[in-house]
Amino acid sequence: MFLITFGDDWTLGSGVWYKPGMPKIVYENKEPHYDDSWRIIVRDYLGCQDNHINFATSQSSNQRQFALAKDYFNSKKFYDKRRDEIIVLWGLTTTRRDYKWCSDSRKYEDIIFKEKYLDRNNKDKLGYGLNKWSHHDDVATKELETEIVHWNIFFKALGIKNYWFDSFNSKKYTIRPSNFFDIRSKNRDLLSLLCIDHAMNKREYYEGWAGGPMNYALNNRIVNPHTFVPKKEGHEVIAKYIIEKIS
Amino acid sequence: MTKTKKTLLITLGCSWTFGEGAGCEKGMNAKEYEKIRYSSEYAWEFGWRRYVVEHFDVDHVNLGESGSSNLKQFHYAKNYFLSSKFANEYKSYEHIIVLWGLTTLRRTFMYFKDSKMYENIYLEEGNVFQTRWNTSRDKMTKAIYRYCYDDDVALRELQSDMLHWNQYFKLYPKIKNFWYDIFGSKDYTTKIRNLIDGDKPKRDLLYRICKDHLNSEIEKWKLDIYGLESREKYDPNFLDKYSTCFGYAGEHELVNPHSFHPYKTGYKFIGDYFIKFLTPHIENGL
Repeated sequence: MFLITFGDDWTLGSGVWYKPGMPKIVYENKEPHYDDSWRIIVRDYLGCQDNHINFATSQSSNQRQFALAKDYFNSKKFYDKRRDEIIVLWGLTTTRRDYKWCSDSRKYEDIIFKEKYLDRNNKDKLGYGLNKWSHHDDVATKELETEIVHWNIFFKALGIKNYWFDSFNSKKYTIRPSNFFDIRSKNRDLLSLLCIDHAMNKREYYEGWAGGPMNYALNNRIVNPHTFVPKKEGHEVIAKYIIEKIS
Repeated sequence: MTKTKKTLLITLGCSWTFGEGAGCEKGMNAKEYEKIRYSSEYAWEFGWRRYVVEHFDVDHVNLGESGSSNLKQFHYAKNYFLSSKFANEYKSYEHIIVLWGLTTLRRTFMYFKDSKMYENIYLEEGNVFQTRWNTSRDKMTKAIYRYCYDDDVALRELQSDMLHWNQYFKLYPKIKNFWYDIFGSKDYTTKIRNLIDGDKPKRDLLYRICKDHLNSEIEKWKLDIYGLESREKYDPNFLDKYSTCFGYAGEHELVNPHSFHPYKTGYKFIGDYFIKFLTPHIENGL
């Protein structure tokens, strides 16, 4: 078995090293390690300790992941693999990000869409422009759907098993691919999974759902307060969920 | 000629694939030209696709359109090849040929909130600095050109897409796909096995038209003046750095003076070029 993962911080396992009460300065200066992340737990469950490639990166856009996938599946590295042994787990992030090569840094950058104009660098300026003039949720979701179906066809023809999931927001898809975790559920993303798990299992919760899953997660300390990503216990819940889905 | 009724030809590309301006007659003024410029009837009647389709007696789907960028064609292709229309076509035909034309790198497309539609973006310098920056498209054009465009990066991305689609089409045994450069021969850094005339430094359709003219007119001394063979003499203000033959083509009336598209004779030349290229592939049963 060979495990390939795509996604953002939620797949990479950013912040899994957070401990309750850890000050921001300590948290940010900790050497990143992902051993407690769901990705590594799933990897070990599948017996892929030496057979795992991760493309998920911090603050990644979906566009970055599609570009990395194109390059990898075009590469010789991939040609040497036995395709029927590959599992692809692909986490989809918010559509409010893009991925472009920027002429000031002379490298590819993930562009975060912003309401406020910042003059610091090209990626901020682009983030403002794309948000103001171009981004539309429905259009971006439609484009994402096209990519999902395109890659599903590609993987199916190659004999590769692949699965999709929403990372921290559930998008309003109009398609229902069978390999998308809980596609029919309104709250199918991993953040909602953690919130629902918390609400079901803990008697004392701080607030209801009115403020949305992220507020619920913050108020109930489900995600870390510095970068809003799951803690170690959250990763365990996610790992259990994913293992159940792919088994 | 081999009868291949059970073959479908799918074309992708920009205006040169669509057949923009194919109804243009020499001497037509700008006003007269604009009336016929985007005519689908003329594009079909006098564009190159009809020659190929009729010669091989194949059915045909065209996704190429005026002003299209390579990115837009990849977007169209993604939607088309996952559609039920294509699924049915794939069942119905014995062979499918995909002829995919690659246009200038300096184009993209994007959805705009104010128009509520996708719009083409032209990153040619002349275009970028002539706009008044009033519309959101103007502003995004300027931002993309200034902050995130580079010819070499765009070429690398194009190659990645070409390799990806090569791999994608390989998964369909009935499909045979070919790429061609339209009006600029790009310096690909990866060997693309099915790029037509990929082994030649200059291979684009405009160059072929110019070269054919040059050969017949015994004007070889003009080669260097017009930069037909000289990569260094490209005009950076005109399209991307790979587009070098418009000066020659314009000077010798090989393209119309309004939008720089081939005349009927040019489109016929392109049709013959593709017929010659495709004949062995079709006769060998694809």
